[in-house]
Amino acid sequence: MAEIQEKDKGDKKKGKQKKMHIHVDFTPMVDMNMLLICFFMLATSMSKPQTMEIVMPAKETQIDPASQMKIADSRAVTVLIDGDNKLYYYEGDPSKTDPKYEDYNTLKESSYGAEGLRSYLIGRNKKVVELLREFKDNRDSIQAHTKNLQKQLNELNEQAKAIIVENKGNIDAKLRVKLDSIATDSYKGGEGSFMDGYKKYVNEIKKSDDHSPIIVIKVSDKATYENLIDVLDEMQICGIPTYTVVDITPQDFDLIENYVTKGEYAKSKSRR
Amino acid sequence: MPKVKVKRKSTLIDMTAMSDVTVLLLTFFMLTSTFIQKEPVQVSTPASVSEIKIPDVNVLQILVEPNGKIFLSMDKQDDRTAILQKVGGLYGIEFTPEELKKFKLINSFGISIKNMKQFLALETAKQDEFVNENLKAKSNRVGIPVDTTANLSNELRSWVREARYYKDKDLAIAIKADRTTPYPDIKLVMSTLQGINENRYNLITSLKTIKE
Repeated sequence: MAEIQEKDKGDKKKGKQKKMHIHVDFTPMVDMNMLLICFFMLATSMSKPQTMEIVMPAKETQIDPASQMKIADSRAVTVLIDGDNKLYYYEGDPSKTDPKYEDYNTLKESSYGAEGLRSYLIGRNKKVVELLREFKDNRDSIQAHTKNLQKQLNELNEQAKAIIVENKGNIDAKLRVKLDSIATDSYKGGEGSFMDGYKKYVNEIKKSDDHSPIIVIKVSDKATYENLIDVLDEMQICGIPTYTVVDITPQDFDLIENYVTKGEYAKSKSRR
Repeated sequence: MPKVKVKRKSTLIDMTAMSDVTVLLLTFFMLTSTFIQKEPVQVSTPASVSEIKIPDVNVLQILVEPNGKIFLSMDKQDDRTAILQKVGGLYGIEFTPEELKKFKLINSFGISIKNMKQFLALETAKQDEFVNENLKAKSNRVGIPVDTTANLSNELRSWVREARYYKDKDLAIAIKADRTTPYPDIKLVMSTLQGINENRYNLITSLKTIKE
């Protein structure tokens, strides 16, 4: 391939054809390319890191208590993240129903992973999870539908443009520019607008259920960053619309202690 | 007996096709990849199912290493120096053009503004050495000071605020922390951001898929 055969025209001497080979050796070129490839593979990263968007509540001093949202006890779930990868949750406000923490089972131990917190939250948030799943299953057909609409719109635009061009004489220049800009505006959108719409739609679905749980995540100082991310992740998987991250309180430590000692802690406390 | 003539075969291999392939590969790598930013510490981020990508430009990244030391990085060199000057102004420190030039080259910095001048006076290799040694010794000489107050002693607060003033709405804030970082260290960063009304930010994670 890298040779070019040149045939002399046989007009010099009959019978004797001179063949010329031009052969380019590509081996050094390949060597160099390989080196460059190695360099690029080692010095660059292919994928952009993923991120998780988080919106934290504004600092408490700015909120006056009257405007604070009251959460119905039936919707409130508190998740406690403790050290050593321990995870607990309780429903509602145990200080109201059981002020002395006599029943140590108000606090339930859970775990990271599919069969722990996730199965519980999916159970609580069934309606939303099902809607989300349905929507995701039909995602392709919905996308195809929007694309189809886009296409029709484009065709209409083309027709409109053609009409404008035909009636050039009748429509003055100013109006034509205006119409053109409207036409090009509706061209835009396409893929990107679909994703935006998709996100909005998912958010709407998440908010649609009035009974989906509201989660308060309380993080102990012994927990690690990974624990926090794991729990935040569960919120996303289970389609929880409202959650917040706050500090753990001494009462919560009491609850945990009580659970670990199976009620002994509360008893000894009340005796004192 | 007639002599058997052994045909001599040429050992040349045609490398043209090979070269074609390598050039293609090279083009692919050059077009799709971005260069890895130099970071003072390697952190392994926790995994999440979130698929949002981080924006390309104007990201203020707050890197929290396993022991809670904080490093900052800004992607544009000019922004970086402008913000350094502003923060320096807050603490009454003026930087010479040479120092600014050196600061431009530091991608990710984690040093108190009071020690910044000394740090910039070092050579690049010495700077890395300084950071690595102090990280190993867990000394307080590296890492941007942060606390729960809203005073000047909370330098992270000053940096983020100046960056926000400078870039206004364009700036995205991202926290990148190691998975083993204790929560109190993260809490300090988060509450500092909360204190200056930065309530929307990104947590950098790696991708994981859910098993159903």
